[in-house]
Amino acid sequence: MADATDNVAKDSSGPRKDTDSPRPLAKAAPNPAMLFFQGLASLRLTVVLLFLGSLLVFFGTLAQVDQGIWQIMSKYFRSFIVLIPLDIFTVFSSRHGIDEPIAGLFPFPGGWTIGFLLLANLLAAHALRFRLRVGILTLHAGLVILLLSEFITGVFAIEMRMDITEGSSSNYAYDIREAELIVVDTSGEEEDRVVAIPQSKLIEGQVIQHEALPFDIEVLSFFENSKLEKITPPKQSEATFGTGLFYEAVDQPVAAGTGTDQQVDSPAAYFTLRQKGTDSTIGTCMTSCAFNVPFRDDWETIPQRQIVDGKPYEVHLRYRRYYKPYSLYLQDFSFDKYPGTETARNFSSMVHLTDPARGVDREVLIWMNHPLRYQGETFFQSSFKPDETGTVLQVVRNPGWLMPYISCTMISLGLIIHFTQTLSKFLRRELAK
Amino acid sequence: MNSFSRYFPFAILALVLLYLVSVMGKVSRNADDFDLVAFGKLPVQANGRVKPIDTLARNSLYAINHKATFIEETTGPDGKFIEKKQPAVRWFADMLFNEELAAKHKIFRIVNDDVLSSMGLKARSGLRYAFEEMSRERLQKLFQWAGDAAQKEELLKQGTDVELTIADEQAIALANKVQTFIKIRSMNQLPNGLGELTEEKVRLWLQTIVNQSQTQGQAAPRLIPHNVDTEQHWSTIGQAAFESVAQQMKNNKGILEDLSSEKISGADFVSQTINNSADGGWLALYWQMRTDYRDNEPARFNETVEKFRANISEANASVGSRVSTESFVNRFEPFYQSTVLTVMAMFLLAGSWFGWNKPFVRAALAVAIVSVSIHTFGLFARMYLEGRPLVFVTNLYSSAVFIGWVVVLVGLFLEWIFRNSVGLTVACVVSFKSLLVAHFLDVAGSGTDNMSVMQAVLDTNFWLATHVTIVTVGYAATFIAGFLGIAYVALGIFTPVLDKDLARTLGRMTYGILCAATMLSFIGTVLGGIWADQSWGRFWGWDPKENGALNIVMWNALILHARWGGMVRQRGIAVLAILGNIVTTWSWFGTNMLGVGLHSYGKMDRAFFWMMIFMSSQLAIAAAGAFWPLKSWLSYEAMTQGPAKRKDGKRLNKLNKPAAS
Amino acid sequence: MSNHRRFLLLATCIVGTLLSGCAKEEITEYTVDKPKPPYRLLAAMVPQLEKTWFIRMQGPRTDIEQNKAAFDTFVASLQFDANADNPIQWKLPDGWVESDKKTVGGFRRYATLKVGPEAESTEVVVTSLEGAGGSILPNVNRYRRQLGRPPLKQHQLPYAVKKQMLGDIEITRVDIKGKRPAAPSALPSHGGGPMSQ
Repeated sequence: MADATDNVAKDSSGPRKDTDSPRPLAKAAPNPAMLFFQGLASLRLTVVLLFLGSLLVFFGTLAQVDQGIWQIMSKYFRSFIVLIPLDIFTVFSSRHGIDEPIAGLFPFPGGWTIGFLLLANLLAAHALRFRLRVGILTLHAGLVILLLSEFITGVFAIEMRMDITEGSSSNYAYDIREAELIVVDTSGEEEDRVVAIPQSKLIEGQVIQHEALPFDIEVLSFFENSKLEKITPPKQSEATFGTGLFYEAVDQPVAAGTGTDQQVDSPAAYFTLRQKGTDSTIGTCMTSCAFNVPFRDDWETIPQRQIVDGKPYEVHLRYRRYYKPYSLYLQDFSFDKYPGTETARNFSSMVHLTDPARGVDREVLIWMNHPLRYQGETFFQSSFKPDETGTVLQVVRNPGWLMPYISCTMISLGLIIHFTQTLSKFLRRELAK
Repeated sequence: MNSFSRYFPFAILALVLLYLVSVMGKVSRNADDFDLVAFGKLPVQANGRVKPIDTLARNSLYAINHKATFIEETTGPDGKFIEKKQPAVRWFADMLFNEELAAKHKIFRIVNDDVLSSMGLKARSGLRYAFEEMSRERLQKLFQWAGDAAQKEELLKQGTDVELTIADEQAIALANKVQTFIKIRSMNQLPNGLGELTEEKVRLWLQTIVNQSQTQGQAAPRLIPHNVDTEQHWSTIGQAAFESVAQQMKNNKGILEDLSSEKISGADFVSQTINNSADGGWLALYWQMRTDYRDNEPARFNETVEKFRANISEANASVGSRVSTESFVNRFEPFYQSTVLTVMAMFLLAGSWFGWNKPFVRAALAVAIVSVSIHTFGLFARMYLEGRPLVFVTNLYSSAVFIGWVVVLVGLFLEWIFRNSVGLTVACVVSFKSLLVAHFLDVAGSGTDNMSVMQAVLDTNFWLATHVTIVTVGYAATFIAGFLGIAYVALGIFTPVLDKDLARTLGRMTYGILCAATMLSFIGTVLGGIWADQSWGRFWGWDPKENGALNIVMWNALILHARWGGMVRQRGIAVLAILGNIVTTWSWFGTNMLGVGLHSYGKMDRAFFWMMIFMSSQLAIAAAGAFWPLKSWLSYEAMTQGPAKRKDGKRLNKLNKPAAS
Repeated sequence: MSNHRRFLLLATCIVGTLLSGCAKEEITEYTVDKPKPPYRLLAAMVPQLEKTWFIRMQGPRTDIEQNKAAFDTFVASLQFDANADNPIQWKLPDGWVESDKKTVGGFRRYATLKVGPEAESTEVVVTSLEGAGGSILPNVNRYRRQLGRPPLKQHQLPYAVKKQMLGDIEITRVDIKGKRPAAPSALPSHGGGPMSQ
């Protein structure tokens, strides 16, 4: 085909630097490190990576039919390697989800691998090859920022929710994708003392010991998603006190589905409490995030109570909480529908923000596409309580949130500069004919 | 021959204009003594927005009859049986003013044998049945069946293995049709049989209205604008009548006794109440229309309709002109006319390959320009009607219409630059295809409003006008590049006209469009990210629709980098660009079919089949382009040797060189 | 080779950022205010010969906390005489006023008192029902349901109420904390705790 067509690079007004790469350089530098960098800088690698990237995105999209978006994100896009089940290709079949899934997995480079290689490729190309061209440079610099921002989001960003009932206030947000075990000392007059254990420490068979804890806790079992079933007489409960006497937690697959209507997983666990530093058992209990559900207030939770050394303690499993030094009071939540339909037209929350430490005391209206940004966190109107008496805000802390904005401006500018140059050159030549 | 070449394009243009004039004539002509066109321009609030009765009538009848018209069966003066095609608005007028007649129209399309037999009906030609042919008991059974079937459908969606038969699906469909019918009729009814209206009848009617308001009142079309300025205070005729009667009964406690002792007839009571009701006279006017319609007094009816329209315009001029415009657009069907003209342009272009290329191409160009003007009118009319300036795309249907438009504009631009009729051909083909897709999407919506209201999170003109528009232009550009690739492969393999010059020109066109496509799809995608960050704090959520857009950006970037790296040349770019059609189709439709994600603005089942057909065809063409040995391409010689004489500096129509010489 | 070095520098920066993301999560300890329900209901049930008297005060928790002492004095001041025209008599605490509201939503009240002169001041409602003290549980559960709390079983009742002597009558005191009662509606309330969801 080459003989039938003329030399494109010569003909085009596109970046011309590629004609002198990478072969001429390879001849000049026998140094193996240099060879490696030239390989890393090659356009061939760019094309291969873009191709693999496209495929990864495509597979990651197909897989979302069966798995939750957060799982997909961590398995496909925020990983170095992903094992993709062959079953994802059957999603279009009408028997999908009914027939047995097709067995078999194949490995594929994950998002981190492709992203970092693209980054390396880009940096190497600029270090070794490109002449300074404003358009391309701006564009690629923007691209670097974009890739980094996705990385920073992947590693550092936290998405939380905050529920507030009309006429009350909240000073914490919680993450529905992570649980925590808390032990509460309720002996105080005005305040409760809370010891919070992150989900990463709740490993089956492990014993949690900590100076702040009044007892040792052995994790008997932990389910990422569960449902509760009533225990019928012949069956014996594992628990020796609390709700677990009457209900048992049953393991469930993690929920699929994305976005605002996503199913929330309901983690549950069995714990045995032991006297500090000994093997003597205080009791075994079952606790579930279903006892501490979203849309309910703190005083409505179901604690597992136990008295140890004469002091009353409560044990809860709940969605991980992040307490804030400020609080939001919900004055009013409103939900409008289009007349004669069930289609939502607008949701809005009138909240009162109070931050005594900073002397902030103001009213804010949060509604669709109009979030509140405060102290590095952004509050979005997300959902509402089923009876419309309270709001659910999405709270996002993302240190890199501004980066896409910068990057987008740069890339768009770069693209516009570059292609306008190309186009004007091209048009000038065409019209001159 | 010379004068023929000169005048042929003008003759075609004249023909096109004549056609349009005839369409306009048909649009404004009224086949009936009753001015139903004017009646169709009255406003009604349904599905969250105020629209002309014409739109509601078409959509509703479409949902029931699968056509926006119906066949009326009457007996002529000589006792002969007459079948007459009638517009939807006629059916709607019967629904409001002549319920007995409306129940006789054969409009329910029932195709399934099981459903037919359960309704006690026999298959007949046309498979259309009247409301009165279905008994109350059988309808109740049908609703029972449909309810069970709907439950099965739900279970199936959750992955339980239950069998949903075709009869089940059809039962759901028929139940929905019946419900659409009932919603319009019973909620906008006035008490029947006025002559012998008794207290009991009034009570029964009131009870019916109350019951139905509770069950269906929310979704019923509302014709009475208590306050034209806001969208909130509209009610159905039944509700409005009920309110004024209830008010009257409250104010005048003795009225019930008067009614039962026949001191006052029920008819007088209701008509007095309605005529004196405090709703601004709307109800009284409908009451008047009803009387005129039933008494067969077209002149009086038309007067009443005119009065209603005048009152609306006086109360709120913008509502008045909006519904009139929409009614005109409904009848003129700009996108349909534009499709017809595009087909005509395609025929003219095809004609140009067999001789007289210049006059034919010119004629095609003229037709395409008229077509794109109508297309433009249609798009901007939509914006005006939806009250969303510069928002071209609000749903999948409008995205297809918009892509068709962008493609024609870009095609005409390419034609202006290159003058080789390739741009024009690609424009006509792609635009026709996408208008066809739009048509089928509209049909697949089976009578739903294609200007439906937007979900809260999507209801922002700024992002709709920027992100959605730019992303969709990106789709269009990628499609154009893909079809230019097809032109390259098809011309090369099947014709001898792809010489060096043309190949180079095509290559350049594709490259230029690809650059634009990359830029637009990137900027559009990123704007989407910013929107997402603004509305739920996630710049990038790996949602299927976002991923689809990212796929387009990556694919276009891949082609450009492959070209810059010298890995592909003209042929390779053509092949990759054709594969780009698959990527774009996936992003446009495929991701919606996954049934997950926040963006799924269109739900399709059967469309999947056609998507796969299109994708496979693209794969086949790409494979041909990549693997068909170059030596057996018909253009092989032309490509290797180049054009014979092209040193005179004159730009000729290369495509048609053999014919021109 | 300066190109070379430039690349290495950038790469180092990126790897550094990567590693800093892997901090380990630790067990933390902090104090929080005790969870407080927004709404509270105080009631006293006084069984008489043929009827039971109910004295009830409910409202936002803070309001009730402020007026609890006055309510207690009020209950202590009650005197009964079944044969008199006014079968029940009381001494109004300072600031309390008697309102003329006698029916609410179709239900008759014996009297409505307000803890202050404003229209939205917390109300104290006095009602009576025919029947004797056996009806304590359904009434407690009715109150609990209003405040979104699950109903009690008979054996749980002694823990949820307090018995108190008023002269020679044993009266029942109830103190329920919960959520703001939903506006009266046709929908049945669902107070089953998380299990019912």
